[in-house]
Amino acid sequence: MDSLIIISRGPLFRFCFTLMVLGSLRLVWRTFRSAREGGSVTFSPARSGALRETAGLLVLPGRIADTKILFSAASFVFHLGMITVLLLLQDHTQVVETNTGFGWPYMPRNVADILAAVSLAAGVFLMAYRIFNRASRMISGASDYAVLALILGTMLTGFAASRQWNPVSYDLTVLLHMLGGNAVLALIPFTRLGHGLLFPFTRLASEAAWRIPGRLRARL
Amino acid sequence: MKKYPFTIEPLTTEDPTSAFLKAFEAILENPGYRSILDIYSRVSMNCTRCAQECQIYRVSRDPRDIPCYRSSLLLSVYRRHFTTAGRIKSRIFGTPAVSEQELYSIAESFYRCTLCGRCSRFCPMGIDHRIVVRLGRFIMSRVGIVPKALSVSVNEQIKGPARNTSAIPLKALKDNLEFLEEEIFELKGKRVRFPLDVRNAEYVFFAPVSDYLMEADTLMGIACVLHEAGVSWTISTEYFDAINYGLFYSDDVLETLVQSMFDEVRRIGGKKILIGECGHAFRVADMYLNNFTDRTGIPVVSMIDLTARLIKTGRIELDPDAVTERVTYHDPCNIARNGRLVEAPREIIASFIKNFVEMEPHGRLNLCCGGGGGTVSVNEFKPYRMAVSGKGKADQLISTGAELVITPCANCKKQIGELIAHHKVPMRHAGLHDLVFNAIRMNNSGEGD
Repeated sequence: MDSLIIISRGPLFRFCFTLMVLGSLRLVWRTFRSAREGGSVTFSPARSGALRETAGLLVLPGRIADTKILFSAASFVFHLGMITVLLLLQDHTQVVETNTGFGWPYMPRNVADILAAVSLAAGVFLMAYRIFNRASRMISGASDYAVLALILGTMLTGFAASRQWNPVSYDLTVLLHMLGGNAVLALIPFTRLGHGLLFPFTRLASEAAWRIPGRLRARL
Repeated sequence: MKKYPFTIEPLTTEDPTSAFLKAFEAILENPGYRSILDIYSRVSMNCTRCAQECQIYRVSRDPRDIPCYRSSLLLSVYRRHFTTAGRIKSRIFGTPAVSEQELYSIAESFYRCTLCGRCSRFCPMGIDHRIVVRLGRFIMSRVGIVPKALSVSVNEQIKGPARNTSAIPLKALKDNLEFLEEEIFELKGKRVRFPLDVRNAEYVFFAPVSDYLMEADTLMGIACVLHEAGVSWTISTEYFDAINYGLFYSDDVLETLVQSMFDEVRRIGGKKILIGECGHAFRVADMYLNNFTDRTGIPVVSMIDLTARLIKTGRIELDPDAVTERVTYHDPCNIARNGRLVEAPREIIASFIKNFVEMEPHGRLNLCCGGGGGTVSVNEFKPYRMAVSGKGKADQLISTGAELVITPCANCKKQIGELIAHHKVPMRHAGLHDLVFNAIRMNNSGEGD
């Protein structure tokens, strides 16, 4: 078990992390390249209002809409908690520092615990919503459940690892957490987990897509 | 051969799915389309936030009407057939190629959407489902899956001798305009002309051609405003229809018609393009004219903007007692969803209408009339437009308690008129310039005055 944990913390993490970084760079670069090739000469990002709207999506009031308030709030809390804990938990920064040499400040453990618990609860709500809400259930595919289940599993094992109430051994829980985390990292560039990287560009890309110029259309 | 829904013609091709994939592949040569499908495939999380905001789904409760479900139909074909990962996955899991049933579902679902774009304002991922629907319709149009009414109108406009969607001959147009001039004289006591083919005019005016048949008051209002303010304008005689259904289903049509408008303005040496009361026509000219014609620099002006400006600068004067009814305003999606024309019509209204009530929601978040995306032009859609896509608007109209609804769009006028009759809403509808016509004070002496 120990050797598996060491592999997960070391070589496997380095492999998945590298895959994530390179794959993400490729993903963003490809998106920019094709958007530029297909872009319109008359499209002005600043004038389109897309930048302002994207900024609105990133802050709480922009995401809490007048309907589906609970859903929007849960989604916001889920993402905020997950990303904050992912980046600022001491255990996580240590793993990155050990493997890459780069480190940064981390948050107090008790704050991370609260954030993780709230984020996990919000994630469970989102999963329940997908299962029990009629519209959501009708259009959800296997991959929608799989992606969310993978993240929830990883969060749960991370949260439960050092708890006394956890009936599973510490080592096994940590191992599962690391394998899940590595899987998430590796899958970001290749699956819909990449939405976190691309969504800041979506509105801009949408506005540009309405104005695909004639020189390109004429080629069809 | 299978008959596709909503009176879409039976296909001529023996193998529609192969033809569909071939057309899809050709369209993906445009990197802009590949790019947007790539992005949408990766960010579409099927969260159903859009479902709550779609006025069609709210009524039908049919999953086909959930915007992200609709988009997923095309995105799934894209992933499966045109991405490396999708092809590998299909091989591993033995996913079948796109079936005719799938194509049928896409055709059915994509023409239930009115392309109003309200869902796009609420998508947390910033997806604009209209782009996917329009692209899907474009691909289908290459295979021949198009509502007959749209393709007939477009054929008349592109290939017909009259070069307009209603096939109105030039002589009939001239007779009609003469009649309107007489009508204005009778009602306003002034000679106001509809100038034809005036060279080097400041504005070349394009109205949806249906206005010449059905919206006399709108045209008379516009003519009076331009006359009163002393604006130099003209209607061209070789191409005068502002309608461009290409926005709803085909880049080929879109570009051809934009080019026709541009060529006509150049032919008579006009300086600017003036678009009458038509939502999609203004959006097309505003967005695409310079895009297709390599930045020609011909400015596109909406008649709504121009009238608001003329009121503000005191060049026209409206009688504040001319309209006494309780009035509300419907924002046409094509000019309001992007915030382009939200304030200007309200400035006009505020300048002479005292009893005004807003619909809720309004402006950028307005509800669609239910006849957008070309559906209002297809008579066979009418039962659907009345019972499903337009139901939310009918309820909204009733809840305002207004006696008159204004909308500056030919499509919305037709749909709202039909909704009022169908749902027995105690209200009448009118264009913005219809009321301006009632209220305008004709101080400027006209010819033969």
